Parts: sequence; structure tokens; C-alpha cells
Amino acid sequence: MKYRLTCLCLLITLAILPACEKFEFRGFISSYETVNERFNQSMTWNRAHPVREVFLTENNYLIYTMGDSHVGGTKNLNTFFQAARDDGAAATVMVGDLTTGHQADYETFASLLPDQETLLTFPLVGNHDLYFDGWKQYYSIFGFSTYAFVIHTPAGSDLFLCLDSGGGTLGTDQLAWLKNILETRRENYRFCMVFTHNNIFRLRPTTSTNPFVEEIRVLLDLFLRHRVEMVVTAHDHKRNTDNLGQTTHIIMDALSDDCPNAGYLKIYIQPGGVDFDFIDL
Amino acid sequence: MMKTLFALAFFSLFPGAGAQVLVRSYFEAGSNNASEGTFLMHSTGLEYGLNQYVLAAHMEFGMISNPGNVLTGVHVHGSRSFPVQGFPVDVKGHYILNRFSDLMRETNWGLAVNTKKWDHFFLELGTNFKTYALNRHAREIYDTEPADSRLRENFNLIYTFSGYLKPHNHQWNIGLSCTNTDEYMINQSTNPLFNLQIKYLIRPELTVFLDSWYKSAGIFNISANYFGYFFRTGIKWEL
Repeated sequence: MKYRLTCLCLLITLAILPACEKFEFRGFISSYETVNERFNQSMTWNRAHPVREVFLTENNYLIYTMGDSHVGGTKNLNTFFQAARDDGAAATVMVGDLTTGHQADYETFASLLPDQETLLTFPLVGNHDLYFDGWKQYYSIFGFSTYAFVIHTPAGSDLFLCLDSGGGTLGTDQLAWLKNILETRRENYRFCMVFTHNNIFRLRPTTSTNPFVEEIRVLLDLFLRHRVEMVVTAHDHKRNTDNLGQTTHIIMDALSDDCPNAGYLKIYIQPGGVDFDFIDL
Repeated sequence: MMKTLFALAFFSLFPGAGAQVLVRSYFEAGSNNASEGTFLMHSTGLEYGLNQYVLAAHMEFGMISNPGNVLTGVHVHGSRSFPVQGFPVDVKGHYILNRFSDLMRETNWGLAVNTKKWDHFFLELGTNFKTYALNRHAREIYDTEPADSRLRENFNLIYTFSGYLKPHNHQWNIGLSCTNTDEYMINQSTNPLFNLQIKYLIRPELTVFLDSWYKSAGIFNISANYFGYFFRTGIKWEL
């Protein structure tokens, strides 16, 4: 019996050890910064760098979106950036878990970022980006994780809202910011889309974390009341979609090289509406 | 729903031999990242027990809460106790309605099995089916297709693990629970709630209780952040 227990403990230890490079157990108990602290840092950066506005001459445009690239590996990330450039995407949105949180992986990611003149990139933080004190690296490279950007076309202007859910909650300050921006600015735009890392719904049995139900209720009410067309998330590593009211909720496949079902998302914006395609790699 | 409440009220007026009627009433106050300040809620319910069966209905009222509805929740559950090869278990079915907005509602229904086989522990496991739905008013305002008026989450694990200082039937007790369920809410399995609870039997038929609940987003799973807390205090009164 004692021998079996020893073997079992040894097996569990061996199973956990390789995962230690990807998961940080300290983060499971307490994060390095609170979500309100990260939000306030994002707002400080936003004040110094006002709302990004993109002006297009065409009415139809493309947004390339990916999540969970988990760099280390860079093959799929390069493919994604190249495809976005080739397709003439107006922008790319990277919906969190861009790295494993390690400094070396952040440096690799930063070295692959396209020149903003050739391809606009909008990043978001995910839970893995926060491990190993990763927010400091993220902040030094990108500067923000909560922000809005606007794309203008001759036919109309569209609002894109990016939210930090890397800690499993938006927090009080970010939720108030979201509510305020939807109440005061949403009406000025044609379409509104929200990007955040954590998938809001559990559309399949999974171990990935969602926001608390109380927070989901507030978000659903806001999305419905303010006619948010699309909410794009990642985190679950497996694609899924569902509609509630006028909102299409999308969970993307992971872009990671290690993911057998790796892929990304193309969003088509046209005067008649918003459509999307999952792209397999 | 109203039929169930009337039935329970009727049964409570005429308790039969061996029947047990219990009133459970409490207030709770706290705050969380989504509550926009302090909330204050009140819940009252009746439980009717006969032999190995229990049928119960509770209603929740928002006294200070952001949805704006007065009646915010309804919880109906029924259970049956029986031994499985000498092991005592309760099989329990639940239905919860939460009116969290003037445009939407959330419903939960499911089944769970629990046991108090051990004097100092309570264990429960089950599954839950959750639906978020637009109400008729919202469907009209937003001209929503019927297929897009509801979204379902199926087969979510529900669990409760509780440990107590004293045996279950002791005059007073202190316990600690880890669970993803509460009276009017079923959370995802990855969002555990922690509940430190105290109870005291003032008289054989009257128990007072005080619970303190703590919620941490992403705990044991991602990068954990504080989410909220609340206190709950009330009575259980056997009529």
C-alpha cells in the first residue's frame, strides 16, 4: 500500500513538473496586481495616447483576430501576421494569452510584431500573460489592455472596445468605464464590438474559467441594451458561437503551435452587417 | 410557481402526522465587482417535509440592488432521502429563476446527490442546466428571433464540500464550505465560493445562523483576483 502511494505521488509530481513552465501556482492564489491597478495603468497610458482612430477609404474592411498564441512557438503567429498583411486587414486584434508570461517569450513576441505602418495590432492581456509577474513585461511593450479604437469608413464609423479579463473579472473600475462608454458613446457609431480574453459562456463542458455569474448578468444586460453586435473571446482554445439578442458571442480556437485545432478569426465589416469566418491552420 | 407556493402554504397549515414545516428567512448584505456598491437582499421560504420527502420554495427580494426588480429570485427544490446499500443519500432537484434585469432572466434546473453520512461533513455533487433568456418585452423592443432569445449552458458540475467542528445535530456549530452554488445562483465549477458559517439553536425549533461568503475570481484556475463578499443572517423556524 505504501509502495503504491509513493508511486502515485511520484506520478503526480512528474505530471505537474512540466506544467510548471506554463502555469504559475502563485497566480492561482493571488495575482501580482489587482485588475483595478492594471486598469488604472491602462488609463494613464490612454491619456497620453488618445483614442486610436483609423480612416479607411473603402466601405468594406477586414479585422483579423486571434487568441492564445502562447509564444514560445512562433510558426502560427507568423502565418497569422502574414495572412493579415496579404489580405489587407484594417487591423488585427490579439485577444490575450499572447505569451506564457516569461520575459523571454515577451521578447520573442515583441520581435515579431509588425511595423504599425504596415499592419495595426491591438493587444489584450490574458491570464497566461500575467503569470511570472508578466504584466510588467506586457505593459512595457504594449502599454494598455483596456481601451477603445474606432474605424471610420465613408459609410459609417465603428466602435471597438477591448477589455482586460486576465484576472477572471473586469473589476469595478473597468466595468464602470465600459458602462460609461456604452451609455455615452455607443449611439455615435454604426457597429460596436467587444474583445476580451475570457470566454463569457460555457458552451461546452470545460475547465476554463468564466467570469462570475453576477458579472455575466451585468455584461449581458449592457450588451443587449446598447446593441453590441459581436463579443469575441478566446481562452477555451476551441471555437464556439452562439447568439443572444442581437449579439453574436464567439470563442476562438487557440493560435498556439501546440494546439491541434489551431486557427484564427476573420471579421468582415460591410455596410449591410458584420460576418465572420474561422480559419484553420 | 404560484401553485407550488400555495401548495406549500396549504400544507404548512395542516401538517400531517410526521410532517415538518420550516420557515427560513434571512437578510444578506455585501458587495462585489458587479454590484455597483452595497447590496441588501431578503429571502423567505417554506419547507415542507413528510417522511423522506421535502418540498421547498423560497423567494428573494432586492431591497438595495442594481437590477431594480423587487422580486429578484425564486428557488423551488424537492428531495427524497433513501439509503443506497446502507449509505444515506438525498437526491435533490432544483429550479431557480433569477430576474437580474428588466430585459432578461436566468433560469437553472438540475439534480444533485448529497450525504451527511459523516458527522462532521456534508458532501454534494450534481449537474445544472442554465439558460439566459430575453423576456417578452425585450424580444419586442429588439425584434429578436426566437432562436436568438435564449442561450443555454448544459451539464455544469455543481458541488459542495463542507466540514464542521461539531456533529450536524449539535446545538451550535461552525463550518467551512467550498461550493459553486448558493440559494439563487449556480456558478461555473471553476468559480468556487467559500462560506464560513455559524449556527445556534436558541430553542429546539428555532435556529439562528450567520454566514460569511467570500468570492475570488479565477482562484485555483487562472490569475486570481478579489471579486466580492457578503454576510447573511437569519432564522430557521420549525412550525
